Amino acid sequence: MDRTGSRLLPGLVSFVAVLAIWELAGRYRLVNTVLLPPPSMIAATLWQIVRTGTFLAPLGQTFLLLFVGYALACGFGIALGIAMGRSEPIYCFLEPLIELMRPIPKAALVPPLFLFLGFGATMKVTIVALAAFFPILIATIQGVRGVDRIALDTARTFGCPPVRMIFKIILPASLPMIVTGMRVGLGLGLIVVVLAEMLAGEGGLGYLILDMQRSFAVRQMYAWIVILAVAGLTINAVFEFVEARAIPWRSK
Amino acid sequence: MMKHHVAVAAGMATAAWLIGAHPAQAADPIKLKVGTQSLIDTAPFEAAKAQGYFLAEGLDVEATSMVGGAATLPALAAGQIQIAASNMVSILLSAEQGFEFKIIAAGDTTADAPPDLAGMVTKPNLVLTSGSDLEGKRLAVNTRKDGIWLYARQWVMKTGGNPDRVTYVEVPFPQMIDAVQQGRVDAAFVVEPFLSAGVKSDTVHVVAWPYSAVLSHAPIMEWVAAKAVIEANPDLIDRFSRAYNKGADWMTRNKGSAEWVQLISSYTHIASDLVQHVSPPLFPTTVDPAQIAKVAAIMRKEGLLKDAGVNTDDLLYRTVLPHAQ
Amino acid sequence: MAVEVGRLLSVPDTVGTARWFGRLRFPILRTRVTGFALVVALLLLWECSARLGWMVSQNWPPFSLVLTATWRGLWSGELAAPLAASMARMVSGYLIGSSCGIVLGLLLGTVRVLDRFVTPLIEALRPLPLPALVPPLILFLGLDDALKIFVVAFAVVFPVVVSTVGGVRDIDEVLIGTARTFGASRARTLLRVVLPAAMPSICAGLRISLSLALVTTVVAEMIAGSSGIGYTILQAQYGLRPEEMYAAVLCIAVVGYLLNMGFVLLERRILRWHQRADADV
Repeated sequence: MDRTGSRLLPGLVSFVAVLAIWELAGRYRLVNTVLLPPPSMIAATLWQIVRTGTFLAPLGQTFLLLFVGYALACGFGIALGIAMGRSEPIYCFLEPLIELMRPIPKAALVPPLFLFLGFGATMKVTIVALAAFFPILIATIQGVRGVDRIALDTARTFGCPPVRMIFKIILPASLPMIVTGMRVGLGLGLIVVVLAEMLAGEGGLGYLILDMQRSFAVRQMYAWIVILAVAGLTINAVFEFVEARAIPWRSK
Repeated sequence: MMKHHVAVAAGMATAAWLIGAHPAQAADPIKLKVGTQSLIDTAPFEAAKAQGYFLAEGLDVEATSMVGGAATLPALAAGQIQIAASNMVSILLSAEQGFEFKIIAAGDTTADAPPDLAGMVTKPNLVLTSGSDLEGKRLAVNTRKDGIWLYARQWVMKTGGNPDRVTYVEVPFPQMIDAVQQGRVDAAFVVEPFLSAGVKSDTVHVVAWPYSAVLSHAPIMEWVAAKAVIEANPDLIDRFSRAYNKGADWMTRNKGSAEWVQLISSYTHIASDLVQHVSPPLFPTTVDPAQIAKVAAIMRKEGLLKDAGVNTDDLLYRTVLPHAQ
Repeated sequence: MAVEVGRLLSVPDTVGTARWFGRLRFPILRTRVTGFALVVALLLLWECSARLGWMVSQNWPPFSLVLTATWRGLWSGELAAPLAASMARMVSGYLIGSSCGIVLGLLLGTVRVLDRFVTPLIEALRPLPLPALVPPLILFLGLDDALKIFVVAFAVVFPVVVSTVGGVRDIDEVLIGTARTFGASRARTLLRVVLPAAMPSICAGLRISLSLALVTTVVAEMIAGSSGIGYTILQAQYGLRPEEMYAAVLCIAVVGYLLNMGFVLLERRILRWHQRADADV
C-alpha cells in the first residue's frame, strides 16, 4: 500500500500543478473562460454528474463497445500476425491489402461502412476493431520475426509440432513486442470508440461530449472529457497490471 | 501553458489591429476572416465575393470553410474569425450559454410554401401523410437537438402525432437516401442536393415539407459576429452587411439563371444539372425579430432553451433590422 | 528471411501444415504478386457490385469511375494540390511529433523520477479524442496550419513514446551496467547503448505513427479550412460526387502504402547501422 502511495504521489503532484496553472489563468482572465472554464467550475459540474450517478450508463456503453472491438482486434491481430510473421507466402498475400487499408482515415471509411453495415453497433465495433487491429498486427509480425532462430531450430530438431511451437516458443518470445502493440492499439481503440459514438449518436461518452459541444454547454463538455480521461487512465492501469503479470521481467 | 497565453494575447492583439486600427481607406482593403460553409444557404456570400461587392466596400475577405459548423461559434468566440455563418438553433443555444454574438446579416429562410431546402422522404411505396403515421417508426435526422430534429418533432405534433413515439436516428445527410432505401430507417428528413438526387432517381418520394408546415419563412442560417468586434468597429460590420446584401439581391434577381447555377455549383461542388433541380431558399436582407422569437419559442417547447432563456431582440444588430434600410 | 521460412516449411513436420503453402514449389508465392492479385480481385468485386446492381446506392460508384476521377483530378490539380498541401502538413507534424516522442521516451525510460511525474499526465491526455478538444485547440492555435500540425504531432507523439519506453525497458540491464563500468557517461550511454538497443521498438512506433500521421492530417482538415485532402473528401461527399471522394481516399491509400514502403527500406538501413554500432560497443 505504501509503495503504491509513493508511486502515485508524483503523478498527483503534476496534476495539481497543471490544474493550478489553469485555474489561475482563468481567474486572471488570461484565457477566454467561456471556451476554457477554470477547473473549479468544471469540478462543480463534474460533481453533479458523479453524485447523481448519471455517468454510469454512458460509461458502461462505451466500455462495452471498446471491449468487444478491442478483443476482436487482439484476436485477429495476433493470429494473423503470427501467420504473417512465420509464413512468407501469407505475408506476401496480405501485406499489400493491409498496407493499403492502414493509412485510410477511419472517417473516410465511414460512407462505405454505413452503406454495408448500417449505423448500429456492428459498424461501431468494426471501426474500433479496425483502429486497434493494425498496430497489434504489425507489432506481432515484428515480434514473431525477431524470435531466436536457434530456439526454433532446436525445437524443430526435437520434432516439436507447429502448434506447440507457436504456444511454447513463438508467442512467449514475441510477447513483449505484442504487448507494446496491444498498448498502442488500446490507446487508438479508446480514441476511436469515442469517435464512433460521435458518428452515430446513440449514447456513450462520445455522443455526450459531442452533444454538449453542440449545445455549447462547455462546462458539461469538459466534465465529460474528465470522465473520459479518468476512464482512459483506469483502463491503462488495468492493462499495466495485466502486463506486469504477463511479462514480469519488464516491470522493473 | 504560459507560452500559449502569450501567443493568444499576441493573436488577439493582431486581430484587434486588423479590425480596429486601420483607417477606412479604399486603397488598402481591410482583411476580414469569415467562417462559412459550402452549402446552398451561404450563396449570397459567395455571390458578393464573386461579383466583387466586398472589394468595392474595401474588404479583403478570407473565407474559411467550417465543415459541419461545429467549430464555427467557438472560433468566433476565440477571435480567430470575425464573422461566421451559423444556423439559427446553434446561435440561440450559444446565446443562452453566454456566448456574446449578434446577427449582423440575414442568411436564408424557407419560403411561405413548399418546396423547401429540406423535405421528409420515404420509400415510394410507403404512404405517410401525418405525424401519427410516423409513430413507432424510425426517422433519420442529421443531429438530434438541431434544426432538422426540431422541425421534424414540431411537424409530427402539428399533424396529430406524438413526437416522443418516433425514434430519431442520427444519420449524416449524404447517407440518408441509402438508409431509407436499405430499410434501415422508415423515413428521412434530408436536405438538398441529396433530396433532389434521391427523388430524381426514384428511390424515394417526398411525403412532407416540415419546415414550411411548421413555420413559414423559417430562418435557417444567419451571419453573426462577436459583440466585441462589432463595438470595436461598427463601420466594418456596415460594410460587410452592405456588400453581403448586394450578394443576396443578386441571388434573388438571378435565380435559376445559368450564372446562378454556375455560382452554386462552383463552391458547393454539386453538379450543375443537379443544382437546376434544387429548390433554393429565400435570401432576404433583413431579419424579422418575430420569426426569431418563434424559433426560440419552439426551442423552449422542446426543452432546448430554458423558460427565462435568451432575449431574442438582443440578438439582432441594427444592420439586419427592417427599419434600418 | 526467405531462407529461414524456406527451412521451416521444407522440414517434414508431423502436422503437415507446411504442405498447404506448396513447399516453395511456386516461388511466386514468396513475392507480393499474390498480394496485389488479391487487391485487384477485391477491386473487381467492387466494380461488379456497382455495375451489376448488387449494391445500389448513390454513394457506391464503380471502381473504374473512381480511377478516371483520380486520373482527372491528378492532372487538373483538383486532387494534386490538396494532396500536396496535406503532405506538407503531415510531414511537419510527423517530424515534430516523432522527435519529441523519441526524446521524451528516452527520458521517461531512463529517468525514473520524470517517469513518475509525467507519465500519468500523458496517460490522461492520450485517450482524449480530437473532436472533443477542438474548442480549446481553436482558442490557442486558430484554424490554420498551426492547429492541424499540432494535432498531427499530438497524435504521433504517443505511440512513439510508448514504443520508445517499451524498447528502453526491455534492454538488458547488464548491457547498460557494462557501459557504465567502462566509464561511459550517462549521455553517451544513452546515445550509444540505449538508443541503438531500443531502435527496433522505436522503429515499430515510428512506423505505426506514420500512417497515424496521415490519418490525423486528413481528419484535422475536416474541421476547418478550405485546403487539403480531408476537405476534398468532405466536399465531394456533400457535393454528391462519390467517385471524387473515393478518388481522394484512393490517393491517401497509395500515398500511405508508398510512405510505409519507404519507411521499411529506411528502417532496414537504420537497424543494420545500429546493430553494427551495437557490436562496436
